[in-house]
Amino acid sequence: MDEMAKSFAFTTRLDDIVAWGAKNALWPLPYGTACCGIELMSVMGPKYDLARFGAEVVRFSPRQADLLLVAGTITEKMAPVLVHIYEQMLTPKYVISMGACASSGGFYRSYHVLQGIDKVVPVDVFVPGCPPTPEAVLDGVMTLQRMIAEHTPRPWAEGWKRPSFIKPIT
Amino acid sequence: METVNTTSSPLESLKRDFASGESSVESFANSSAAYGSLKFLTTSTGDDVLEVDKDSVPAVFQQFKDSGRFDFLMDVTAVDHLNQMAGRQKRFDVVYHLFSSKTYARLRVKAQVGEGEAIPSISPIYRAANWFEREAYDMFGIHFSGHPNLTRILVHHEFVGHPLRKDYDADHQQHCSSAMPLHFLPDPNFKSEGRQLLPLNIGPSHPATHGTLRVMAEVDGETIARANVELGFLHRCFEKMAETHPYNQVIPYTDRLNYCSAPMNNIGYCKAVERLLGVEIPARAQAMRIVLAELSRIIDHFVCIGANAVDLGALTGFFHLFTYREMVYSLFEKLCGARLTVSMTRIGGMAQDAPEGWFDDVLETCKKISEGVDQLDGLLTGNKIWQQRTQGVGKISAEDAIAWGYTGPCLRAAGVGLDLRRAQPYYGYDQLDFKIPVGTTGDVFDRYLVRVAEMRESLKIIEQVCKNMPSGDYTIRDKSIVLPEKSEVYGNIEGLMNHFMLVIKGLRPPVGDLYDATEAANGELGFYLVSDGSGRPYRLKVRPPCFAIYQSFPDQITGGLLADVIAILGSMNLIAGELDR
Repeated sequence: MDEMAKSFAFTTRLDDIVAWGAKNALWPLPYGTACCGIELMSVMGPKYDLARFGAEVVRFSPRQADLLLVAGTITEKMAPVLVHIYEQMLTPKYVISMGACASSGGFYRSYHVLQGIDKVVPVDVFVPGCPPTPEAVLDGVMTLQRMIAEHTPRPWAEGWKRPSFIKPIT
Repeated sequence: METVNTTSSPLESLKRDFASGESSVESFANSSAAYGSLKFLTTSTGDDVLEVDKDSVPAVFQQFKDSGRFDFLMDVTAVDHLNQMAGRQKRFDVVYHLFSSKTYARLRVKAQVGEGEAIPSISPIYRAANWFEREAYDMFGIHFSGHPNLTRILVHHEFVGHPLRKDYDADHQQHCSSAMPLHFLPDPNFKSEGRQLLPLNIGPSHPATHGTLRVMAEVDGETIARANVELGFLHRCFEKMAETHPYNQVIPYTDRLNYCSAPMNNIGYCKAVERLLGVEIPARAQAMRIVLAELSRIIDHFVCIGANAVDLGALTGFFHLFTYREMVYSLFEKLCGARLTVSMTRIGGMAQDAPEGWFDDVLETCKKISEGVDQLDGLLTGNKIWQQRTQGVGKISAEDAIAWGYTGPCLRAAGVGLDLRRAQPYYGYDQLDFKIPVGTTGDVFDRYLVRVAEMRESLKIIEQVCKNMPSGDYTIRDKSIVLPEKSEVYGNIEGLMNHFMLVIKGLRPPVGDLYDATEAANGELGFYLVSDGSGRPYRLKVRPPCFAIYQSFPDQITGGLLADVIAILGSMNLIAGELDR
């Protein structure tokens, strides 16, 4: 790096260039559980093409992903699994909550549906809709990209602890 | 396919059978006393109902099975009559739905069960009963004596109480602290015989298990020695939500049952309520529903085939099919503004008429889809890798498929030409020219072929209907059922009052119950609806096609290769929304 600094003139700060790289190379883990999952397929599909935003490499392993894209209802039964996956992801990690169910339980105000994933994991961007249109999801991704580029402080993610009612998975 | 007269009721011959004690099996031939007291009824909607004592349930069902009168057990469920105890001694009804693939007759059997009482399980008689009984136990706490594995199935394992009981609050949540460890069914015949078995967990968050399915296996090398599945990761309490919402507000919830073909669920539900109300929708609404349903069938098969191919490593098919799926979405958007969950039907017809030129757009799109299906055919059918991964994999015989309660493409792939559009035609399907594709072996490849052929038949149907679209109204104009036009609401006091009354009180079907089924993309989608005359369903039970199909999954994969698990899972078209409700 010192060598480079001697031979090039940097016109940006180092953390800016890192953020620029990070925002344009998001690796999403598509956590599609329900209807939103099908719309997420459309977002990945040929017409809307999430690849244009550098979020092309979809990974189902939390160790290889930095963006948790929760698309669909998370039930009480699923919550410990979601937390486990979030814990396994490497930092910096981001969460997009896609759709009404993931964001607030949606119109399932019922005994087996978690009333929003922010009860168990920290969320960066909420995308409204039931299910949201692909355009709305793309807008959510762009919002997250802006947050990364601008170094938006994320106190909710920094101070996150596993909720007390969920046991660590051994 | 041969046509069978479905109008004659099986009830008369059934009564004779039981009264004379005549039976094909000797042990039941002795006396009708063996069955306890039997009561035959026909409801106002025309459903045949048989009321039996809970203790004579096994004898009665054995008779049905042995006489070959009813080969399908479609559904087992329960109703909590806590709020309707007048004239009853016992709190619960256990309700069975039987169907015959030969005469297309249906019969509902009811047995009363009290609090804390047990009813004999019929899972030794009808294999399909296993999970349905488990579900009734889970939701209502009814004990089925002799059931091999009476444990929770839909709600999580730390849950206390039984949510569908009338004294359980709809929004009373209970957190779950951890996922269940790997577990298998107690099987006395299972021996590991010195093999080193490796426990393997697949799902619920795994690319091939579509987000919410969990398969647990013990593998001996690449072979599955034993397997089990866990479900309930998407149990969204559809039935409880239906009980707490007015009839029309249940429609958006039905959208989210099988979200790959949402309009078909709307149609199935509305058809059930309309039959309970005793109304017939106008010809134009019927035709619109057929177009919506067949478009949905095509895109549902797209997702199924596309996802199945992706799971086996062929991404091209997925991108290819989603191009055409987007076209259908555009049609839906044009029709009502929504893409995936359209909620386009209303009780009594449709929410609105199609915009001008919409049916021409549909015909145009169908031409493109037809080309797309041909290309898909060229891409996969003759493909050596696809053939080798799917042929001979997940085979099932016609008898086994019926015993498990298979319906839809999976059943037809096994060689049974049962399709409700032909067997119990509705909305004028009987006047349309289309074929029922039937397979031979019931393997994954046959299921694929049946789906491709069905898409072509659906295109044919859409073309016929769109070219002969009836004119007229898109909904009935019954003031006690359908909201008035907005111009009426804002234009005169009668319309305004009518609107308010319907919104506040809701439509009120007469007291009664019925079971109504349609042929959805996965198979028979049934709704068992109990009305107490109020503005909300007293009980609404969905009979999801993939629930019965998934039940056979551990049996299907045991002894096979691990890689085939993925192929079979994809071919069954499991949609968690309707599986877990």
